[in-house]
Amino acid sequence: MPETFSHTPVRKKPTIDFSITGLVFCSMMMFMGLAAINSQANLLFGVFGLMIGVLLVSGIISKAVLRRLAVRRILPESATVGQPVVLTYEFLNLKRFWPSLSVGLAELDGVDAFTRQPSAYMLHAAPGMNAVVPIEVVPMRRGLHQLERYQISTSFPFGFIKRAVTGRQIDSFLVYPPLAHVDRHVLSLARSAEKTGPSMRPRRGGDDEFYGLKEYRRGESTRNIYWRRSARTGVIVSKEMTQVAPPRLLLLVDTYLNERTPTAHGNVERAIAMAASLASSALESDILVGVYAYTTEGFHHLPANRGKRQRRDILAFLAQLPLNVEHPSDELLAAAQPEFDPAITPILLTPQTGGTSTRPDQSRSGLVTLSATSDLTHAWFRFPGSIEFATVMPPDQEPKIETS
Amino acid sequence: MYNLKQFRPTLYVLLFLGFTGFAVAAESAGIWLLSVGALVLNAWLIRTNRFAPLPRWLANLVTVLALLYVAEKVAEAPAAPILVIGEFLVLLQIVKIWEQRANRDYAQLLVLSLLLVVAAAISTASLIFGLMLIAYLFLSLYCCLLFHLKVEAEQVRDASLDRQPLNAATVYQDQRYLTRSMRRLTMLVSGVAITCAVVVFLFFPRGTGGNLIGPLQFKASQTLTGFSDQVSFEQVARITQNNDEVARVTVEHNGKQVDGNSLLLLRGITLDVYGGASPDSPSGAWRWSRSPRSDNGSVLLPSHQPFPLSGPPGNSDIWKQTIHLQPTGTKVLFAIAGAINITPSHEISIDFSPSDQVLQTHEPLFQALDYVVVSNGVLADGSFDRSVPDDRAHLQRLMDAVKHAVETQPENADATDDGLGDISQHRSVIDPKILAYALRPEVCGTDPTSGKSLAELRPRTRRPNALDEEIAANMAHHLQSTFTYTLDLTDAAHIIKGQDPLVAFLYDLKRGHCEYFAGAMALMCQSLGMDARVVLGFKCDDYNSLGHYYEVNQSHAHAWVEVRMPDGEWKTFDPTSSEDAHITTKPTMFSQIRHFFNFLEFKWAEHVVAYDNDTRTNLIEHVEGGMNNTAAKTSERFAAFRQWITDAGTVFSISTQILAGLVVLAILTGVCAVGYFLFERWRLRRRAARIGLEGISEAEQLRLARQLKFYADLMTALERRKITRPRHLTPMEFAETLTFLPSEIYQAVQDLTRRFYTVRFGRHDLPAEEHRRLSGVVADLDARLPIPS
Repeated sequence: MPETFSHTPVRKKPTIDFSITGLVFCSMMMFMGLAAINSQANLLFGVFGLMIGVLLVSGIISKAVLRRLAVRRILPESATVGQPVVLTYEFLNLKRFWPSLSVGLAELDGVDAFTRQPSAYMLHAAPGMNAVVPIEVVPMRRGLHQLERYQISTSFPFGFIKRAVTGRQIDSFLVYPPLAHVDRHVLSLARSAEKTGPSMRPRRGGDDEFYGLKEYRRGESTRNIYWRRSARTGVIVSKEMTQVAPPRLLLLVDTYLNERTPTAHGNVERAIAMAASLASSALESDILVGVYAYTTEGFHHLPANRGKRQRRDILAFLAQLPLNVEHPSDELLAAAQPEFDPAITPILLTPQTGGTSTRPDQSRSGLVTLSATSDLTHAWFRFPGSIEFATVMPPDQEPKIETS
Repeated sequence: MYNLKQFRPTLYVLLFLGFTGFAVAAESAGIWLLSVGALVLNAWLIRTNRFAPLPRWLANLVTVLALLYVAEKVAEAPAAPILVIGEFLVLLQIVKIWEQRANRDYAQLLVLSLLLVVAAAISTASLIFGLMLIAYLFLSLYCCLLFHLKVEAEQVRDASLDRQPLNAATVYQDQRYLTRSMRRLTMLVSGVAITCAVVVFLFFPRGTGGNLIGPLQFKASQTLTGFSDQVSFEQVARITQNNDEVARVTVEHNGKQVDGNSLLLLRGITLDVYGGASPDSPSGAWRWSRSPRSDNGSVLLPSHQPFPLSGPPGNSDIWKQTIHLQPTGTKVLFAIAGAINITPSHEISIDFSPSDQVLQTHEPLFQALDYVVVSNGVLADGSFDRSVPDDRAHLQRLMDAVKHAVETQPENADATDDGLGDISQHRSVIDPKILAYALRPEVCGTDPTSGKSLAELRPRTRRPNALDEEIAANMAHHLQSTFTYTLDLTDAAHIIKGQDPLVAFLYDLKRGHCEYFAGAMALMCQSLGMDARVVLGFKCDDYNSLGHYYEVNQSHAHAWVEVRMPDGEWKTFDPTSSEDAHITTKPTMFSQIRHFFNFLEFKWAEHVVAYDNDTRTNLIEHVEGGMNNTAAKTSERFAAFRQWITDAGTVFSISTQILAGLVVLAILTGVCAVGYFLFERWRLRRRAARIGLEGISEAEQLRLARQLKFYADLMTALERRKITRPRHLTPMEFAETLTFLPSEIYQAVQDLTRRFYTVRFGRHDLPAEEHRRLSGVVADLDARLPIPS
């Protein structure tokens, strides 16, 4: 775990600049001028003038290339830390006659969200035409990032003069926490926790086994009417069947940060990432998942549900979890207590060291505790090696002064 | 991504042009064969995927060897290091071509190629190279554009996370109209760059910093081998024809341009002393030289100022010659006989000898010189013919002169009276055999009345005699008719050896080149006591009808004889056998093509190569003068206009009320124009909305609304019949629903709707007459549509 916070370097080019190539060209031009003056050869005077013209036109064209060049940023709905994502830039050349060539684009804001500054290169956009340039970037920090200013630059046509123009387009971009490959054992643990719960009983409402009878109400399916009993009693009654309760998980995400060090931050982020990974895997296995965690509005409960939408909601919820330096896990558990249900398996994902309890009966209310610092969870949650958890938190949660 | 396939072929063509340009400048076919061969072979290997780059160590080794080769050549011939450096650049480029791997190599190739062309530009003033240079510069700009794109694209590709090749759609997107865009940009770059080049070329101060850091133009100035200011018969060899250009001469006779029908005889230097066998003589053995002149005067001539050389013309003939003389390595200037004044193009010191009218510069010429000479064709105080006289009238005059001399000769005239002693005063060393040959009747001619030879009749005196002209003419005729012209005397060395070459020429060889003919005749004349001299110059009939000038080449170098007549004038005689030498030829297609290229070369040299500070100053003065004139004329016109207004004011007494009315009228007109403009826009917007063009940009809406007026009229006409297009129907669908209309109207609506589609979606602009036609069709439809009850 690194002991420092790292930042993605942002390179902003000056509005106008002279390149090394340009300096070399100027030197050659001066040499040519000197040769012309010395030799008085008329052709050299011509070549000297030509070089001056080339320098002049270089300035003109580099300005013209960036004129009336509109840029539109097209972002994906979301991305995941550590997984490449494609950003698309659409360059629209609004000029009537002149093309735009060799234009580079670099993001200036929200760059910390990525492992490197997003930059694109457009080779050519004919007059009145557009050019779509997709680029691949790897998000580095979870959270809602705002991309606003970007800079388009060019050194066309000869690389002597570099020009840059800053543009502005506000776009938001949500980055989910990193997702790990989750060992099947964790999910089986969740299932077993539910099935072995002390208060488990069948519930009515399904179509599995006979549960009981009730008075028929209008609107109910007539197929459920138990005609023999109804005839016998003279009251129309209908059958109720049981439903098998699907597994339900309630992920209690402890984000309490007891110290502002990279390691501590990394543990919190790992806990969040484990929650996201577990939720994602569980939802893929058709398990209902809910989340309980501290947010800017206090402790917040996202009720258990299933499906892609629930996955997206959970990941977005986890992605935007705020900095928590006041509410330790006890408060979390106390706040979440009302949500504990016999049919629910609560799983506490915590950055604190305290071991991992894998036996629900050993914990209160069947609570499964998964510690981010435990070796066992490291084995169960296999994250890509490139992920540095110390830098996964949103940029605004990072301490202002770097610590070591 | 970024497959700039155009780059490599462009680079190869550029290198080819660079190699060829340098080969032209260095006049070296070997360099061209070597470099272009290596280039073509390399291109072929790359095209067939057989190319493997040279190892770096081998390339470095070859480079070091090339460097050593250059060092040795510079040590050998320090006079032309630019060309040697050019050869080194060629070798470096060949090495680079064969070790190319990355963009760095391409960049080095581009820079080396540019330096090579610069070296060539310093070393030559050839028109062909100039044309190649222009092509090279255009192509190099295009190549640099492509190269920059290539480098940037590859940098981006290398920095990209995704190294997979992009799909075909992206490649297509990049390449779409790329060639067209590059062409446009190249034209822009070229336009601006060439404009700058022309401006710098025309207006950059010249001459102020010449040789600031030492000579770069190391190539020695070429000297002529055809023309020499000395005549020597010491060496006998084969003379090779040299067709290098010496001068271009434009001639006006009495203000009228000479059309090239006559021979041009440009005098250079005169030689009047023959050294004979003595090597101790001032001129050396078997050499003609010019006797020292007491009337030689050196004077510094200002540029563009006529400088008088002699008195006003004695006759009405004025020959104005504008001469562009290439460096000859001698001091001699050339002109038609009888120079009256000279106007050099730049300040120069000259020596002029009135006695033989020889013009020379103070220092040998090593740069081209432009000058204008006005001549009257007269040598001394007698008449002088430009061309060799051969007409009958002239011969008759000669015969009359001979008769007169015979009749007036005193009976007791003693040949030795005042003659022999004078003859001996001739500083030429004359072999007695020369005199013996000159005395032959078939050489000097015979008197038809007495039967004696004219040489015997002529008194032995240096005083000019009336017979001199006939004797000289007979001698010239004799040499022309019985001797043969040749440039190859290598087989005659053993004949000449040990005796006077001119004696050998007269008695044994009977053949030779113009110097032998002229030398022999001059010496025979001098042996008889006549004043005669050899003149060296050019005799030219090569007239360029495109440029209206004579092209004087080295092969036109010639020698002839001038003999002094009793009246003091010098008469020209050309004894050279005309069987082979300088035969006037009719212009052939080849010569016309050559003239054409020479004309282009002349213009190139005149306007580009020879552009100098004076020309620049003239140009600036001309421009300033033009601007001043324009300003003055404009000012005058304004003043005249103001005067006219004032006069009109006095005449018509324009009252302030009228002026106020005019102002109000102007304002009203302006308001009306603006109002009309706004109304028209509003109308067009309404029309656009009626047609259904709301979804596009405003400018496009207005354009289409103007173009689709006929369709809007059609819709209006239909709406008057309660036929409206529902918004959910496209125009064509709507047109297809109108089946209830009469068939011809239905068909017309269909046609108009198709026309609508052509304009709306096909970006097709209708011409004005088409607008009128379609409006007519709609009006006709409107009239024929049934009126709803």
